Amino acid sequence: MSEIVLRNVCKEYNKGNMAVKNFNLDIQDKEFIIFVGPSGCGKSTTLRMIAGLEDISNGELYIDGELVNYVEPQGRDLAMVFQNYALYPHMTVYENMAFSLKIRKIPKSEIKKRVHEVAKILEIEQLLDRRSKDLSGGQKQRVAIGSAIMRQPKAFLMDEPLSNLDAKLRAQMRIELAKLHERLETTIIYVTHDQTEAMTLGSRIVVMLDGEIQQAAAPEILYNNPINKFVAGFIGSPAMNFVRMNVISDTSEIMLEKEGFRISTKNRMKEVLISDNCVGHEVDLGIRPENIYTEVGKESAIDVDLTDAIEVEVVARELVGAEVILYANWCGVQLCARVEQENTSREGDRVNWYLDCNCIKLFDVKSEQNLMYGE
Amino acid sequence: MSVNTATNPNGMVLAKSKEEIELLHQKMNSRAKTKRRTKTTLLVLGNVVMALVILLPLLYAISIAFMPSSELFTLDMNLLPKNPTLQNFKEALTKVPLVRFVLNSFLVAGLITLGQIISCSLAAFAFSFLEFKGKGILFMLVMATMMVPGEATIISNYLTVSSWGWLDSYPVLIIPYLTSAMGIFLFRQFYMTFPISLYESAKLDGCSNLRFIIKILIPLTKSAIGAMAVYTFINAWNMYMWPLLVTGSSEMRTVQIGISMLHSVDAQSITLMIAGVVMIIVPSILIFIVGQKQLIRGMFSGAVKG
Repeated sequence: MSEIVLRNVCKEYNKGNMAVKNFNLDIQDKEFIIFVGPSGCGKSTTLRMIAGLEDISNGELYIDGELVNYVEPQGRDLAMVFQNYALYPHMTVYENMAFSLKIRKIPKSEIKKRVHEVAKILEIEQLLDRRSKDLSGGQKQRVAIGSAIMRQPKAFLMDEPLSNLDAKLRAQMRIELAKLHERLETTIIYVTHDQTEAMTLGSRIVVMLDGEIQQAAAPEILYNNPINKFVAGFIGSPAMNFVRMNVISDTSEIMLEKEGFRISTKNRMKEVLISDNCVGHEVDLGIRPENIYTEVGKESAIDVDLTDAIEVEVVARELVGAEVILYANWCGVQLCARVEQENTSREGDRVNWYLDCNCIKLFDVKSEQNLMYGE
Repeated sequence: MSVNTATNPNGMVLAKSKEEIELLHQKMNSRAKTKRRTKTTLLVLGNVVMALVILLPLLYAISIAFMPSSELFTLDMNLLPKNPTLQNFKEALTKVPLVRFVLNSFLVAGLITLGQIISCSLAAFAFSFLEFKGKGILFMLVMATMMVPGEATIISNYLTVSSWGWLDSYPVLIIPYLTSAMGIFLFRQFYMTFPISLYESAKLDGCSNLRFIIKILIPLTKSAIGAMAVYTFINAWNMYMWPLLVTGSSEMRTVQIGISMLHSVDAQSITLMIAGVVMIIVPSILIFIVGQKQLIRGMFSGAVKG
């Protein structure tokens, strides 16, 4: 059992410089929580406050109902995995893993049993006698995770644990971490700036910007129903396209218009535009690269509702394995589309693209809130 | 004849036959070798000359130590002893209790080294790992003491210890030197390069500060400790002013003071004194030879990340 509750937690560095502002979050037992955001958004600081490595300037932190603001790190019963592994280089892998248990004066036979158990799970049994400075990055990371598991803590805190590994190893460790979470059934709080890690690992993702939570939700909700323009743009790769459009009313219809190109609105989109008094003003249209089509009649999903064609000029083509990312200019805005490999568009081509009306998001120009955000 | 044509990107033919390539290799190789050898020879020669110039006083001292004093005080250029003798060494050892002086110096320098390593490393730990109010100011204060020359405080220190009745004892030689600002500064610089996440990780593991120092910090900063030890020991071994001031009896004299006693016994016995000097620099040199790797590694450990 480990429930971690943060109430109005703030971190203030010398005189008014707020690194974290009013952070409110209830973390349930066995959740895999991800803190994600651009660098300097306060995600690591929050994690370090939970660990007890940073003082909490304001607010309360409860672990299992107990206020732990003033409890020393060693008293919180949390284990942390650091980005640079933080293994003791002069000790062997066995000694590294046994270190925390030795401090707790656990009998040697018990330590030995547990080290071998954990080593087996992480497949590092053959490394136990090696010195940690002689290991490769991936091995070090396994040992670091192993040392954390040894103590069977209330929760694991991981600070960008995979960012020092190469791409292939990272993907592999990601899968193993997911497995490990299932097996250990413990709460994990995980900090990353890599959204692939966030999307694949997290049961809930907390998107942060400038020390504030933007949205905390399950990955699919975050992707399909972002609360604002920042979350919409941050989650998803390549990022969502944004185009500023005029909202005009034409006879009985409400239309989105840009330089002659019009999208007629229906259903919820239309309701929102009317109820929010957007007619006669501007909104930001957001559309993900996979919701842009280059041909009519080739759409795979059933409920696709394509707009009229927009004529764009392709400026770059990136082949990423099975698909191609096309970048194009349309009326001074750069758009990005994810298309199949067979697509033959080249730089300089003028081609027609179509947007899927059902996947369009609208954002307020000033507040940047998602106008179509549904609770 | 096997023809091995290779062309470069411009289509120019680079070489034709195997024999030609072989010849080209030989020619270029011998030229490179000659160049390398000349360079090495010049460098070695230059180094030998420089070393001789620098070591001349030391070598001459060793030579004098083996000369009878009659050979030294002549107008001839006696660089090497004509009738080498061990008499000077024998006399130096019998005229003053040189062994006792050496033991005193070892005791004093050893304890000062131990004390400085313990006190400086603990202070530096606090300055680099712990957070407390006034840390910056306190550290600046410690650093400021480095700017006060030892001679400026020597009188007041003498008055203090003499009022405590400490004169002419081991404590008075050791206790005032049990810590040093320089040592704290050096250790702090070493610790600044120490990854803080190891400390944080140990803390989360439930490790106390003292345990962290003993189990993790000390084993990982051995080279820094080695450098400090060599530096401190040699400094303490060479102390002159303070031991001269606070010791009176020959039981308490350290070796540097003892040597000057050789001089006062008989004003003509330069050879005797030099023999004593040669004997007492042996420990310093030995320590330096043993510790020089540590010293250099330690002094530069912060400079390049490795």
